[in-house]
Parts: sequence; C-alpha cells; structure tokens
Amino acid sequence: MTGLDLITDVLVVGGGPAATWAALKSAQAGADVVLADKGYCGTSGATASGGTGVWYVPPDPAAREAAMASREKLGGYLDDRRWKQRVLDQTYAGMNELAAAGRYPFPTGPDGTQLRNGLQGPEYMRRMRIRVQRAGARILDHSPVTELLTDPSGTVAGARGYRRQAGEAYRVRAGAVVLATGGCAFLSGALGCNVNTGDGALFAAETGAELSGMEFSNAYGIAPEGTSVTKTAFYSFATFYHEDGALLEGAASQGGRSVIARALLNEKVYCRLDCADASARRAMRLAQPNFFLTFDRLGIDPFTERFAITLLAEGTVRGTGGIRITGDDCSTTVPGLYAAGDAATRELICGGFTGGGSHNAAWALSSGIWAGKGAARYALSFGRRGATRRLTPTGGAGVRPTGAAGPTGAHREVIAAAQSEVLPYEKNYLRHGAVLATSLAALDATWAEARSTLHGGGPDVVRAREAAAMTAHARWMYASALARTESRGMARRLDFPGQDPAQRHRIVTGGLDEVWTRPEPVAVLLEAAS
Amino acid sequence: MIEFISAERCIACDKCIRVCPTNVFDRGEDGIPVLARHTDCQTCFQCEANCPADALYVAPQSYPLPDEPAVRDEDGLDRAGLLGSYRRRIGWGRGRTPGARLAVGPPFNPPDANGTALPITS
Repeated sequence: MTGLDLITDVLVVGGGPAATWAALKSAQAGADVVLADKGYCGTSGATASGGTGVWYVPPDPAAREAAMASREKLGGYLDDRRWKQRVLDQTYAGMNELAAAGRYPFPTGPDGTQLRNGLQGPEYMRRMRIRVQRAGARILDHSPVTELLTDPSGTVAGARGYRRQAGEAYRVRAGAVVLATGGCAFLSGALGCNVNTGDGALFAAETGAELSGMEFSNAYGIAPEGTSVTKTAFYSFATFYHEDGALLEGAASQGGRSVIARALLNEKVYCRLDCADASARRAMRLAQPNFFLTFDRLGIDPFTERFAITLLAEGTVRGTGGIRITGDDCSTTVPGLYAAGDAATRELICGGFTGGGSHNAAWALSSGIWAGKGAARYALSFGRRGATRRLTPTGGAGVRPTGAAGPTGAHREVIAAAQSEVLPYEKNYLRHGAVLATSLAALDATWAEARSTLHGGGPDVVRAREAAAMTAHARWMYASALARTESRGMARRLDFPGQDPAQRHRIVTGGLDEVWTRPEPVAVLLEAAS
Repeated sequence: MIEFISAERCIACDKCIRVCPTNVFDRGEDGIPVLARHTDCQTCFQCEANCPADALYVAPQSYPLPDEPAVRDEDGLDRAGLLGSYRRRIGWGRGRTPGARLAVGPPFNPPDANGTALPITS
C-alpha cells in the first residue's frame, strides 16, 4: 500500500480520556503503542471541550456504599456491584495519579485538601496528551480509522484509516486494538461531540462484536437556543418558563426534562438560573468558565434574564449503551479487540440511567486503564508474530458497496436520513412503539441503500463511514428500544409506562444487514434486595 | 462558530490548524489560517483556548453569521474584551493561575420538593 504503514503492539483508536489512559497504561506495560485520533488528541471529544464531575469517592465504607446505591433504582437495577467497586477503586487511584504524576492543578477545598471530584476538560486533556507522549506512545492526529483488519481466524489485528491533513491513507498492523472512539451524538452540535459519530461501534460490529444497552441512548442536553454549550449541571438552579413568562409546570433539568422536550414541540421554552444566590453565581463562574462563554458573548445575564433554550441529542455519549464487555480487562467477544470509555457499555456501573456527570468520567479512566493493560498483555504474549499475519479488511457500508457505487457526496443524504429519525424529540425522546417501528423501517431502508451504493474516495471515505456508523447506531438503538416493552432507566416508552419486573435483563444487540437483539440476565439482582 | 482570525495578531504558528478537532482550518498562502471548512466548526472554542496570540474569535452561535460584521470587527471585539477572553478565564498563558486550581463550584443539587436529591448529570 502507499502512505504510512506502521507495526505496533497496541493500536488505540480515539483521543479522549479513555483512549489516553489506555495508551498511557499500555505503553507503561511495555507495549509499543500507536494512538490514532480522528481529531486532535487533547481537544477532541465530549470531555476536552466540556469538563466533568468524577465519581471519586474516598475508600470510606459508608461513603462507598452510598455511592454505589445512589443510582441503582434510577438505573433500573441493571448495574453490577462488583464492577462498581472496581471502578470506584480504580478511579480513586487514577485521579490521585493525575494529581501526583500528572500534576493536574486540582483546587483546594475549605479543609485544605484538594478537591479531586471534578475536572476542567481542556486542562485535563492537554495533560493527558503530554503523559501519553512522555510514555513513548506515537500519536497520529487527524487520522480517523476507517475500518479494522482481522487475521484469518477473525482476530482483530490492526486498522486502516485516512490522514486528512496529510491527504493519504494509512495502515497500522497491531497485536491488539482498543476502541475508545466515544459514543454517538449524531452530529447534533452538542458540545465537542461532532467527532462522536459511533464509528467504534460500527468497526466492532463488523468484526462480529456485540453491543449492549443501546436502548439507553435518548439523552438530550440543555443549551441556549442556537448554541453548542450543553453543560447541564447548573440548570439545576434554573426555572423554566413559557414565552409569556408563565411557569412551565413540571419542567426541571433533573426529573423534568421530558416536559421541556414536549413543550419544545409546540413553543419556545425559556429559562433563568434564578435559584442561584450571589455566592453560587461566583462559584459557578470559577467552576465552569466555558458554561458562561455563550452568555457573555450573547450579552445575556443568565441569572436575571430569561433566555430561550433547546435540547441537543447526546445519544450514547450521555446515554449508556455501547460495545459489550466480556472480561475484566474490557475485552469483547472478538479476540484482540478491547473497548473503553463511551464506546463501551456503561451499564455495568450506571444500569440504564445516564452516565453523564461523573460515572462516564470514572468509567473512561477505569476502562481505559484496564483495556490498555489488557491489550498490552495480549499483544506481548505473542510478540511480533502478530505483524506477519495475513490481514483482511472488515469494512462494509461506506467503503465496499455491494452494488454499483453511487455518486460521491451521497453520505450527506444518508446522514440527513439518519438524523431525521434520531434527533426529533417526538421520535427518540418521547418514545412510542409505533413510532419506533416506523423509524426503524426507514433506517433499515437507509442502511440497505447505503450498503449497496455508499462509498467515498479520499477524505470522503471518512464521511461515508460516519454516515454508515450513525445509521447502524440508530438501528441498534431502536431495535433495542422496541425489544424493551416497558420503561426502565432512561429508556422510557409512552406505550409501556411501567417497569416490568420480568424484564430486568440487559438487551444485547448486533448485526449489520440484519439487526438482532437478545436478553441477557443480570448476574446479581439488586432489586430484590432493596 | 469561528468567525474571525486577526491577520495582525496571528503569529502563523499553525496551532489552531493542528488542534481543531474537526479540521476547519487550512494554512493560507501568507501563513495565516483560512476557514476552509467553516461549517464543520462545532463551536467548541478549542482554537481560541489554544491560540497564543489571542487572534481568534468564536461566536457562540452554532451556525455561520455572514451578515453580522460585529463578529469580525477586531476593534469592537477587542474593546468588548472578547479577544483572548476564554484563555484568560481558564488561566492559560504565561504568568496566569490555571483556572482549574480555582474551580470550586457551588454546593450542588438542592433537594427537590420531596426532599430527594437527584444526581447531577453533567
């Protein structure tokens, strides 16, 4: 082939928290590591532009117990106690390492100790980039992976991609691959999320991997209308209004967001952060300066003036569905393939409730570390033999059409078709079986057409693959949502408003031309004990 | 979206070209970046945060503003204190205190009417 052709032990795909922790730990374990990011490792993804709370709980038994119990009911009892304990332990150690070796400038609390339960995105990710480089990993920026490569046994053994600033294709032969490509927000414009198009889930499924929890994919973030800043923590200080200034009854950031979605179908919704006193206002500016960028530049005082809001889809970024994990090292059902961060399911620690806020950050760090170490161990176990394997590309839709290739630029129509089924509140947020079924049929048709004709030359291959990934993602979401004929966690159904004790299972999904689902029992049934 | 690059302030370091997650910029012939793929901008403000010359302005709207000259008026943006303002707020740049060190937020999550405190989710 022409272009860059590399051989490495571990290839990490992605450039956010999970990817950087994976690359760091993999390199520290003695592996040669290449990290390939679609954008720039350090600025791309949901965390880098935002910032996040972290599920950092000191090892005090009562505090740990309360932390583990806090989301069990909200998550519909689909989480796993052992995994929660592992994540709490690993997150505690990882954040302390970030303070010591990473020299992250944590703030100091009133008692003189550092507060390590939150991170500013730009600062966190620029430091993680430096740590990855210091550990000796090679970073390929602006190098989206477009498909995985497998050996004759079906083991994942590398990837192909396109270096968009160099204008050439590349290949990496690897002993193991970690997918840390983030969730899928369907190019909704949610903060930092337009690189999160679900690419990793598509790559994984093409090698035969499974997904889990894809029905937990209807997260929507609040932002001022026409803007991108979907940081929602401070909206717990908000009151929501109709256009005439009357209170929007039942609306709230937590526990009343669907009321906002319903209202937005017919009217504008306004908001004011009027529950914040003077000291809270000052603290908010220090805690999350990027929250105020929008307001300051629009000339709005959010504490005293009402402003119009919108809800932007955050899909599986703030939802919990993703690639199914089958081992403590974040391995998958496919040998050589590991998943971490939002690309993987977060049901193990969140159940069916959003992992936004602090759990996703803890999961990214923990799963990144485990996947990085696991991939290194696996790759080093057979050494450089891995590089001599005969490799087959696995990419389908968007790269190898089964029929006559269609016109270039057709990815735009595919993306628009997928978005028209997953962005509207009346389809994805306020879910109803009949609407889901109609949407799924439309998405199946979009997939069939794309599979047959969609392709892209040069940089367009990346767009075509994003279009295929989003279409596939939407189909797994709606097939799973239809399979859950009840309301559990964030997967609520208007036609099945109650929780059905007989459906306390996870839903596993997969498949490309034919999407399938199957229930998977939860190991420990927590509901019975509560 | 990114709306303004000050040719006067720009030091042609290519940093914005490198760090933009959605690859919006190309290097212009004179070394000043150009908005080659403007509508790919995701309004994440990362280029501004990383510009050492305070030469960029990202408007908060997540759509282009071709008919709003104010977002490209260097003097006006400067007078309003907007050029370099994000960088100042997060304390990036020589001699500044990292904003992260001061980031102590308000007590979160006032309990609702039933006394139940729901977790903050962002």
